[in-house]
Parts: sequence; structure tokens; C-alpha cells
Amino acid sequence: MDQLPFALAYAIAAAGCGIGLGLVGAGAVQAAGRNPEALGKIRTLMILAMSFVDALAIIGLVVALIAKFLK
Amino acid sequence: MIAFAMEQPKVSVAPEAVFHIGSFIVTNSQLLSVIGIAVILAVLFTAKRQVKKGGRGRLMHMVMWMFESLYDTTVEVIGDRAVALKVMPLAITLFLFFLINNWLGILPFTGDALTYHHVAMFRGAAADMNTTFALAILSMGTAQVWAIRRHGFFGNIRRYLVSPFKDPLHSFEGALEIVAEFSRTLALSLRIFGNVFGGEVLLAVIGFLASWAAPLALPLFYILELFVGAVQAYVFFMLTVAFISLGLPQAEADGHGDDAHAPRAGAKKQKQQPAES
Repeated sequence: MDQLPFALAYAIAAAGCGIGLGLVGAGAVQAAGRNPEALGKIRTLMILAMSFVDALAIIGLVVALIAKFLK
Repeated sequence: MIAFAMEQPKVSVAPEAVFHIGSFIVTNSQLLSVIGIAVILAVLFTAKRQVKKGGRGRLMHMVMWMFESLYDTTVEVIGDRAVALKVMPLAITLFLFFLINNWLGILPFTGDALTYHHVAMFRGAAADMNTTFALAILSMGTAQVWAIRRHGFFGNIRRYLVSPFKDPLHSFEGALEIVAEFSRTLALSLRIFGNVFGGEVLLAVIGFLASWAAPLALPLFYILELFVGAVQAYVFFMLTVAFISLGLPQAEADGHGDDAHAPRAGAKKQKQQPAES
């Protein structure tokens, strides 16, 4: 039970980021379906957008780690 | 390899002091970033020598390809070749620094593998919040310098402080913009710190959990971390350029005809993303 706050700090962030990553991926796949020639550009943009979304989950992880190890 | 066979991964959020020079504390992150800078200089000077010989070399072509594609990206985002040429050196330096240091930071000799008086000798440069925050302040400060250069000192202030009686909506927007500048700086530094530090912890934890299967499990995560390190260096570069172009006046791009206008509209869309994240 003591570990719950740290787990939640990551879990909530990861839940939101999961939705965000799904939206990014869905958008990229739809864009690629509409315009297959632009696949290279879409891939770059997708990875860029994904890393923005990813960062939030990882910041959540770092917050959890900092809270756990810096008592 | 010793780091992966240890009993429990040790996680320290802050870098540790390895030794002191007078009252100056030398941390393990600083040691590795000095090594990283030496590696960058060695690579670039080797490439320079190959160029001077007029010959060919794989390294030279790799460096030239990297510089060219990064320069093209900068021009695409900023939309003005002359400004892009002046912004490029800082942005590419930041990219190279983070790229090489992110890759050095996950090599097996970092972490607890090599210790000096029970303190890990090397640690990734971006796994230290001080480094990333300092460089984020540097890039945001450069964005302000560019904004002042283009708008003038009071013109730059007028971007943030608008009289509420003249234009209530823009006044509120300007106040939000002030907060946004600070949150951008913090997010820019936290993004790369979190990814690199999280990656190092991830490798340690996977090595710990997989125990005897670590040689099978770790290479996959190593590839992931190499990829993440490169992407985060690119994101830092991209955001630095985007924030600088955010401060440049819109009218400037209009004077260069249609071909300068088109990438600018695309760049503006990209710039909205970091502000929201």
C-alpha cells in the first residue's frame, strides 16, 4: 500500500499518454492511407509528435522516481 | 557488465560528486560530458581533415549528410535562409552534444560499473537536470535575443504586455504567453532529462529483472535507448529552432514572396504543439 502513490503517479500519466499515442498513430495511419506518397514525411512528423506525448509519461515516471528515492 | 549482475539497481536522481578541485565540485555527469565533447571534436576534426585532403571518407560524408539535413530542417522551420544560417550553429551544437552524450551515457562503462571511492565515475550528461536546464535556458534566452533583435526592446515587451483597455483579448493572451515561456523552458529540460534518466533506470531494472536472461533481453532495450537518445536530441534541436522562429515577426517572411510563405505556414502549425504539451 505504501507503493501505491508512486505507482499511481506513473499510471495516471501513462493512461493519458496511451490515449494520446493512439490518436497520433491513428492520425498518421489515416494520413498515410489518404496520401501514401507522403509516407516519409508523415513518419517523421509522427515520431516527433509521439516523442512529445511520450515525454509526459516519462516525466510522470521521473516524478514517481524522485518522490520515491528523494525522501 | 558488473552493473547488470548487481543485486539491486541503485537509483540516484542527482549526479554525485566524484572529486573536488578547490571548492569546485566535479560530478560524474560533468566528467562524461567532457568526454562527449572530446569525442565530438575528434569526429569533426577528422571529418575536416578528410575534406581538406579533398578525398573521400565515410565519416566525412556522414557528417556532411547530417549537417545538410539539419540545415534543411532549420530553413524549413524558420523560412528565411539568412536567419537560418545564423541560428544553425547553436542548434546543431546542441543536437551533437545531446546525441553523443545520450549514446555515451548508456554504454556499459557508465553507472556503477566503474567506481571511484564508491561513487559511480560516469553518468549520462542529460541524466543530470542541471545540464538540461542550463541548456534549455540557453536556447530560450537565444530566442529572446532574436525577438529583441527583430522587434526592438520595447517591441519585444509589447508582445507580452498589452494594455487591457486597448485590446482585452490580446492582453490576456500576452499574460498567458509569459507563463508559457517559463513552462516551455521547464518542459524542454524535463523532456530530455526524463527520457535519458528514465532510459538508464529502465536498463538497470530490466537487467535486474531478467537476471540470467539479461544478455538476451537487454540488447532489445539497448536498441530502443539508442533510438530514444537520437530522437530526443533531434527534438531538442527542433524545439530550439521552433522557439526561435516563434519570436521572429510574421511580416518578415511575407516579404520574400510565395515560396518563403508556404513553409512558414507549415512551421506555424508545428510550433503550436510544444506550447500545448
